[in-house]
Amino acid sequence: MPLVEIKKLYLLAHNEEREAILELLQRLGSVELVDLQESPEWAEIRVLLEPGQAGGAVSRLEANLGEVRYCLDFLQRYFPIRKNFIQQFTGSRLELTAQEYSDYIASAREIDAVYGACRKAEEDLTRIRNEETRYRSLLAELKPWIGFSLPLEEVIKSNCVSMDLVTIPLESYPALIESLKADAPDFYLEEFSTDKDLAYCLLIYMTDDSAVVSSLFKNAAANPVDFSHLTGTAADATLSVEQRLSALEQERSAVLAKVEALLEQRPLLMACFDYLDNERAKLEAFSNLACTQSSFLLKGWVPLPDLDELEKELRAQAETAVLVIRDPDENEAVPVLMANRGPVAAYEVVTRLYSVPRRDELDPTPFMAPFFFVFFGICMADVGYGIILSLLAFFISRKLKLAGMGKQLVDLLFWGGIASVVFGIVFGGYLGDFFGLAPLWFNPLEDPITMLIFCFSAGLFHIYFGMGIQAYRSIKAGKLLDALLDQGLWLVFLSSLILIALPQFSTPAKWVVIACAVLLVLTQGRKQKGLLKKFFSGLGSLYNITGYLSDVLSYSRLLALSLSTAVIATVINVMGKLMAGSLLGYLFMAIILTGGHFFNMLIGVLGAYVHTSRLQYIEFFGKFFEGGGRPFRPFRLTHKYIDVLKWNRGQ
Amino acid sequence: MEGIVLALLGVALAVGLSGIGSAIGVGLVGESAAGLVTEDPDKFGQTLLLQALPMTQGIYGLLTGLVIMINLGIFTGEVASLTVTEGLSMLMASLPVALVGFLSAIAQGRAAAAGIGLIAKRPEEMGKAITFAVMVETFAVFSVLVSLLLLLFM
Amino acid sequence: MTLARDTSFAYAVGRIRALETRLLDRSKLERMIDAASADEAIKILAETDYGSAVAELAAVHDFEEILQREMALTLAELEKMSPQKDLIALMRLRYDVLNLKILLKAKYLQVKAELLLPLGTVPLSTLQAMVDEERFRDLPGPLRSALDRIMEEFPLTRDPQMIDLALDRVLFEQLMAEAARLQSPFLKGLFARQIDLINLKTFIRVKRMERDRDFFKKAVLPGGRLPLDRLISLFDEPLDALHGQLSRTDYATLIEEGVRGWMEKGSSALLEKLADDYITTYLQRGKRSAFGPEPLIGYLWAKEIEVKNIRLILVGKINKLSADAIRERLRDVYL
Repeated sequence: MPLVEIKKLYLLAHNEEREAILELLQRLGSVELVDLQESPEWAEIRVLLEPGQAGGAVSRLEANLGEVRYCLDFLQRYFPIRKNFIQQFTGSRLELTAQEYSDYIASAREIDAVYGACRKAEEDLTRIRNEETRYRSLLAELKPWIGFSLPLEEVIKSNCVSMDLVTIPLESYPALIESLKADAPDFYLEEFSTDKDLAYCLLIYMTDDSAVVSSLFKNAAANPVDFSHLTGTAADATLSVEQRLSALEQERSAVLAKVEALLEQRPLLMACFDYLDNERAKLEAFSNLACTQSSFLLKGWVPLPDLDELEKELRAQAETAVLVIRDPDENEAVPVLMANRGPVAAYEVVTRLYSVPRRDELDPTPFMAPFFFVFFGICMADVGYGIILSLLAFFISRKLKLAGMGKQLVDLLFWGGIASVVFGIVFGGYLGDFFGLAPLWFNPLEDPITMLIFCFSAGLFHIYFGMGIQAYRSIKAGKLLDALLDQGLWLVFLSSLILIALPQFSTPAKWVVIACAVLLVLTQGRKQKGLLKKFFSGLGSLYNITGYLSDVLSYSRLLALSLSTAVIATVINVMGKLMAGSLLGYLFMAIILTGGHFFNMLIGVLGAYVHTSRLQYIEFFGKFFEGGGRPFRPFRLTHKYIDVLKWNRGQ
Repeated sequence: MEGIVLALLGVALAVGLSGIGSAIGVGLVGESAAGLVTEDPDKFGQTLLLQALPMTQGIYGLLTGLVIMINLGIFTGEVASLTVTEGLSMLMASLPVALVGFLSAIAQGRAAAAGIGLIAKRPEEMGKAITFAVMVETFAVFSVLVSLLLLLFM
Repeated sequence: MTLARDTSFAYAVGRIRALETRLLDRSKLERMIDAASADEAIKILAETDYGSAVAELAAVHDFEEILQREMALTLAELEKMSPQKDLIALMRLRYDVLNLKILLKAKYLQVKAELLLPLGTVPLSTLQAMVDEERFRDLPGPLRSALDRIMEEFPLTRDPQMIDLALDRVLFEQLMAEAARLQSPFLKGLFARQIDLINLKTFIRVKRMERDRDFFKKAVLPGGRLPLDRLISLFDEPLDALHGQLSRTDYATLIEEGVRGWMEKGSSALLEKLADDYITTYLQRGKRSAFGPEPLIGYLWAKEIEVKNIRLILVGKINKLSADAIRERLRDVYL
């Protein structure tokens, strides 16, 4: 399938219409902008241009965006919106009508207030947290002194007598008392409590001895505690601190209530974020342009099918704009857009996960899609699982508004379910052997060799098909010889190798094989220089036979996966039926059957998807497809938080 | 009757070894995923998918074990009597999936755990992270295939 | 004991991968540089992970507190997630030595100890007490004997540089020994590179001080990737010989540009920046390994660089430096 033709576009218009035109392009979303400064044209037009772009507007928008982002993050921190399991894959967005969206944007001025409120709330919360920590540690400090009945403000130092509340390490406690007795004999010491390291004491001593006492303290690692800022006894102080703490708790809930009230503004924030982000993208797009004093030039890529609409809309919006369409040059980095229709479109996701085709390549999706369908079906091969899978995929795509690769993936699974039904009928899988229905063709469990041969044949066909496409490409590129020698010869060689296995063909096939081998040795090295090099390179190419062999063997995974689905389903049925009998037994049977089959289906889908993909990537694409193209990324509106249900401008 | 002991050893090895391998592999991816989800809870779904990948070896082992058990008639209640040679053949048939399942599940676990890092940075590239891990599984598929063919044709 | 099995780091690496996405990227830093004032720059910082810390900030000038807290948090988090605690302790050792240097100089030169970083393995108060009382018995062996030696020698020479040299030497001896004990070529490579960079800086500094070769010989640290005798033999030749001799090593551009900058402008700022960038490049392998300690060490370094960059920008903004002057010194980011 050829890729969508992409044209090069130049747009020349007056500066007054610059913003309107970019807005139009962003809304249509069909043009990929090219930075003119990085284009080869730049050198020619540079002299004509006005230097400098207004960067101020962008940074102002950045600042606004920063505020909105801060508010959203802040709200998310305290009142998170959690995504459910499916949304973690697809993302979740708020749905707004066009009217609601424009209303929100009209009231964007309110964001300042919300931002202020968020900042204030965060500051309050931090302050409350800090105060709480302070009070908590004060509480812990006060605890050992609860038994001390003197009001704390009366622990004073007068000219004559000094009082200290002091903590003394137990190990230096006796020594301290001894040295106090020796150096400052007029003292009074009372111990209030001890814990495992420290004794908590009141010491009264003569003020004249202060210096001695404090050096004794230092030696004993004793620490005077300062509670002079508190009033009342330690017990009173504890009580008041506790009251203060509960007041803080109340204050916190008050602040959180205010934050919760702000949640009402979350849709506004979300809408404005998306709006501002798109505005910023638009302004940033200015830097791609080349401007003179009164006009500007824009360069971009546009898919041919979108061109008509673009021209029509442009003519309606901007009278002075001049549109020039050119074919891209040979060596330009043209982006690539795949366009598949109908069910095949779903399979684009498989190609995309590998790589986007190069500009001069074919889109492999339509060739790959039927194989993917068949192989997926063989791996699952169960009517029951297929129906469940298709229904699940159908409801997910109905319920969630998916776009892009997410939608393609769900569609892919839908078609996978259909394939599973088809091959379930062929191989007789109806929730394993639950219904005991006969297969249309044969049961792989009973005849795995036939199944293996079938898988290898399917694989061989797949590989031949891939080689055929490469041959077609070579022929189209005028390299008939390459097609004949690199693909044709190999096709004959491989086929006759297989025919040797059949007795009636074995003798002629042998001669064909030998002839082909000789020809391959002679021709495969033709691109090398030097006779010897040509010969050895040709000889070495025979080694590729192992590559083809392992390619074909790789398709045995189809058998392994289909057996695994079928056997596990069978065992689930056996185990379920073992339970049957009593009422409770039937209940257990129902649980085992439902849970078991659902689990088996999930594992089956995962295995079928990844292994079928692998067969396409390694065995099939390897034959003709390289990829490495640059996907087409149009300049368009993007939405992170909201979905506008119906875009209707000017409302 | 001694043959049945050997056949049961085959069941034990197939289910046991590949199960251990899967447990190590899944556990490793789980650790890595838990690290990522600690910081970014919304990645739970994507990482779960990667974590499931090294599980298949255990399932292949289970599958092989179940086929041996069906062959023995354990589910029908009429346990067949086996010679030592027959029992030994079943044991041998279980070895490919037991050994390859064990080691490939661990190797796949490493590849998938590395994929967790890929998802952390580029969630949109999940398909590639899965593809890398699945390449390892090829060999487990081959081994289960040989085990099954041996069992079904003996 | 060797390093824990690489897969035992799986959980930690998973977390690091997510944390890395929250590091400030170049464009955020650029926006801070382009901000009109320090206050504006702080506002941009408030939109990032530093947001809640910024909310507590009383005045712009107190930003250092935020940065220190961020580093302390990072180290604590890494310690919690690392399957091997001593790995992070090893990285903290640098801060112990840094603090000791400051404290010792403060003690001997009778100045106030400033810019202490509470990020080491030993609490600052304990370190302070040790220095006050000149009792280092609680420190690991090599460090203790180095400090005892300083205590003996300093009163004789009164040369503050000697403190730096002796402590750097013992730090890297210790680090290299640990790297060998853990059998980690990655850590060994990191420390050897850091030794080289210090030696190169010492080379230039000693040359500019016009001290002799013997002095340089005493100052260089062993264990780097550049052979010591080659460096020492280069010392008596003109600076160009250094370029010439090392032009084949991966230090070539660093010497070329950094040293020229130092000679021309008389400031080592560019060389310091290039040295940091060099280590960043080495550690960036941590972005690619799915297991093992590399991502942890890489992330720690990334944070250090980030903090350094924020400090650079804010100090620059407060002192009204031009955007270009700030940009010149900005370290490459790890991302």
